[in-house]
Amino acid sequence: MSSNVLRVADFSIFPGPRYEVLGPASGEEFRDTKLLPALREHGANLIIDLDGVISYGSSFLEESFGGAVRSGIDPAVLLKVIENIICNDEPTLKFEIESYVKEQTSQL
Amino acid sequence: MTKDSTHESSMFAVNSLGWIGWLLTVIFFIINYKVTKSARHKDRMQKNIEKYLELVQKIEDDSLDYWINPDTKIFMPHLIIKCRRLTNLSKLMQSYDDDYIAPQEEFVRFKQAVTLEASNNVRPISGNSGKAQLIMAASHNLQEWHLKKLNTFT
Repeated sequence: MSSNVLRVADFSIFPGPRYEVLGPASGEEFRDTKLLPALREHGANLIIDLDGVISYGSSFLEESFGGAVRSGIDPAVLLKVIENIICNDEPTLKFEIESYVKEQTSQL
Repeated sequence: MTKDSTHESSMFAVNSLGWIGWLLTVIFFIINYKVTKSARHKDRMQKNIEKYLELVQKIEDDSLDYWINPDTKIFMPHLIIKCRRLTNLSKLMQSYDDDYIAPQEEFVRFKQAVTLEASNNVRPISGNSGKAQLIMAASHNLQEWHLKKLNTFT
C-alpha cells in the first residue's frame, strides 16, 4: 500500500494547462495518473499536499478536481479529502477547489 | 531654619526635580514610540494596499489583452504567477495586521475570471463578451474591497 499523502510538487512544481494536448503537467494528466489512483486506493484518508509549487491555474484545478467528480468519484469523499488538504502557501486554494467540486455536484 | 536644613531642602528639591524630569522623559518617549509605531503601521499597510491595487489593475489589463488580442504577448503562466503574487501580498499584510483578513471569495472569483479556460478554450474573445465583463467585474470587486480597507488607514 502506497503512502496516503499525495504531494503535487512531486508531479510538477509548475502545474500546467487544462488538457494534455495543451502542454505538460496538465490537470488532465494529474487527475488520471495521480489523483484518481490515489483516491481509489485511499478514499477519504487521502491527504493532498498542494504546497511547494510555484502556482496553480484555475483550469488545472478545475480539470483535476471537478474532473474527478465527472470521472465518477463520490463528491462526499472528495469533499472530505479537501477538508484535510494542505495549502499553507496559498490558503485560498481550499475554497477554490471546494467550489469546483460543489459546482460539479450540483450538475449531477 | 538653619543654613544646613535650608541646604538639605534645596538638595531634596533639586533631586526631586531630577527624578520628575527623568520620569517625564520616559513617559514622553513611550508616547512618542507608540504614536510613531502606529503611524509606521498605517503607512506600511497603506503602501501595501496600494501595491495590491496596482497589481490587480495590471492583471486585469494583461488578462484582457490575453483573452481579446489575437497577437498578445501575454501568456497564461505569467498571469497565474501574478495572481500568486497577490496571495503573497495578502499574506504579508496579514502578518502585519490581524484585522486584515484577505477577501477569499473576491480573490478566487478574480483568479478564476483571469485564468480559467473553458473546455472549448476559445480565444480571442470579444471585448463585449461575458468573459471580458467577468474579468472587469471581478477586478472591480477585489479593488473595491481593498479601497474600503485603505480608507481605514487614512
